[in-house]
Amino acid sequence: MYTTDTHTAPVNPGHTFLFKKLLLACAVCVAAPAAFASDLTVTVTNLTRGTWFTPMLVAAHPASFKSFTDGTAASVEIQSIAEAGDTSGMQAILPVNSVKIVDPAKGPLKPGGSATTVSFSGGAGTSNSQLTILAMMVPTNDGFIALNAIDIPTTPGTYTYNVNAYDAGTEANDEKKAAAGGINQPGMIFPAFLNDATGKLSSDINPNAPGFSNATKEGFVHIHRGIVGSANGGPSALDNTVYRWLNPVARVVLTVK
Amino acid sequence: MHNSLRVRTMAISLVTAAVLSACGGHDTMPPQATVSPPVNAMFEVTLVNLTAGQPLSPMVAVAHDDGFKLFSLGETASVELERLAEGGESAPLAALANASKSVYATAVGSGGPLLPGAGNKSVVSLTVPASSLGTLRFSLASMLGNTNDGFTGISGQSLAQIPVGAESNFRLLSYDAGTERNTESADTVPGPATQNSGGKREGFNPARDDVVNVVTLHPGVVSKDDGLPTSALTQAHRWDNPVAVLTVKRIQ
Repeated sequence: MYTTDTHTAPVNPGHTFLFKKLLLACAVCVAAPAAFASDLTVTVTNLTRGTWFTPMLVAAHPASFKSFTDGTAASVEIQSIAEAGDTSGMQAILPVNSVKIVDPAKGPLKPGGSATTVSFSGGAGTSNSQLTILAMMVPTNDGFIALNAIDIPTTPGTYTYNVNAYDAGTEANDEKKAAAGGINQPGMIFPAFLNDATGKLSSDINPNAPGFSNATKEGFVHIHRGIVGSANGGPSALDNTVYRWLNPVARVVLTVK
Repeated sequence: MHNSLRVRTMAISLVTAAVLSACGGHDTMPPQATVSPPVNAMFEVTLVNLTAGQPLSPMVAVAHDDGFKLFSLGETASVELERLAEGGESAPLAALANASKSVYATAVGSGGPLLPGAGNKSVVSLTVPASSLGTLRFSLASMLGNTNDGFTGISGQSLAQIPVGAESNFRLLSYDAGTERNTESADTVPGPATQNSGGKREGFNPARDDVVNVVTLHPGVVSKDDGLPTSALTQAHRWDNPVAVLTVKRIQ
């Protein structure tokens, strides 16, 4: 599915997209009654082994809005999410009457963890026909997960989407520790949730690593090429057996009632 | 809830491509140990390996209802799944499935690991009472042999809407059982990559020393060619998703 030009697609739970099933599903669509003012719930699962998601923004919004366009420069609001995990700017620019669910996980979402939103309105019978989900991936320089303005299905049912990792293109992937937080600041933030049980930064992270000095920011939003990482003593701050990932990095289950 | 109707069979059949074409895909089932209900449904399960250098251990394929889970993302792996993911052992996981009242049929691939390429495929079949179709689900697991605890599979896929003669295709992702640290060392990877390495090539080990003790997607292997000098693996053992194609065809 992630080999096609769409970055997300409905899938069966646990699996990638299936054309025959889609045909069957559409046959069902025709027979099903139309929904009004749908009640939606969203469950996001972190599929990675070592990467956290910062507090998420889940939004149902009109088709007139899109938080980013693939292959073009990121807005400062996307940059703020991707580099600093800050969704406040994006919340502010969503159209009036959009439905915003902020931080459904009540904090960062750990590897393997899931979070479910409260029930909210959107889709059929409302002006908010699109669903967007955004969060920074930590530790990365400017990696984020995105379900980017998908059409909310109008037929009641349960829909599963595999979500890929994006790179905002706003910061070089140097894979070293940032000197400070915030945007326009080289390096990766290491929030306290990366600490081990004793409260120290995980031993899989080397805050003194020099980083990749040849990295430059790309300038456009694209599919993240992944963490390179290093073995002990290498240039990356991140252990290459722990912090790499393969897509998909998240799974979204959308329930439409 | 299906006690009166359930047939539990341990159907083991590996059908080669040659045999398949000879019988037109309508293979016969081995005799069943229990009395058959009047009407059964039969599914033929075919697995093809899409990796370059990861043998897939004999698959464990299970037909079941909602009361059984072979694995769940974000949840701790059973010891039986750990045995499959670390050592390619299919029997313990098949036995776990067969012991469940929610399982209609279990099958294990035969003929050894499913190697990449050369038109290779592994085929098993599952027979279930037709009365189970409304709630029928399918799960499968198979180890990526040249890993610490990597596997591919599917969990809880509905088979309710496949008519006789039709098939569904699934591209399978790679999972990490979360039960063993991904050291990629010759002591801990049991597959052919570590043959002649002098390492212990250990399969199952009860210790759970992974960074998270839950099933997640697999991050892939690093290999000694891509920055992990202590790895026993080379660039040839790397992969990207999807790692296998699964076809489930209803043949009866």
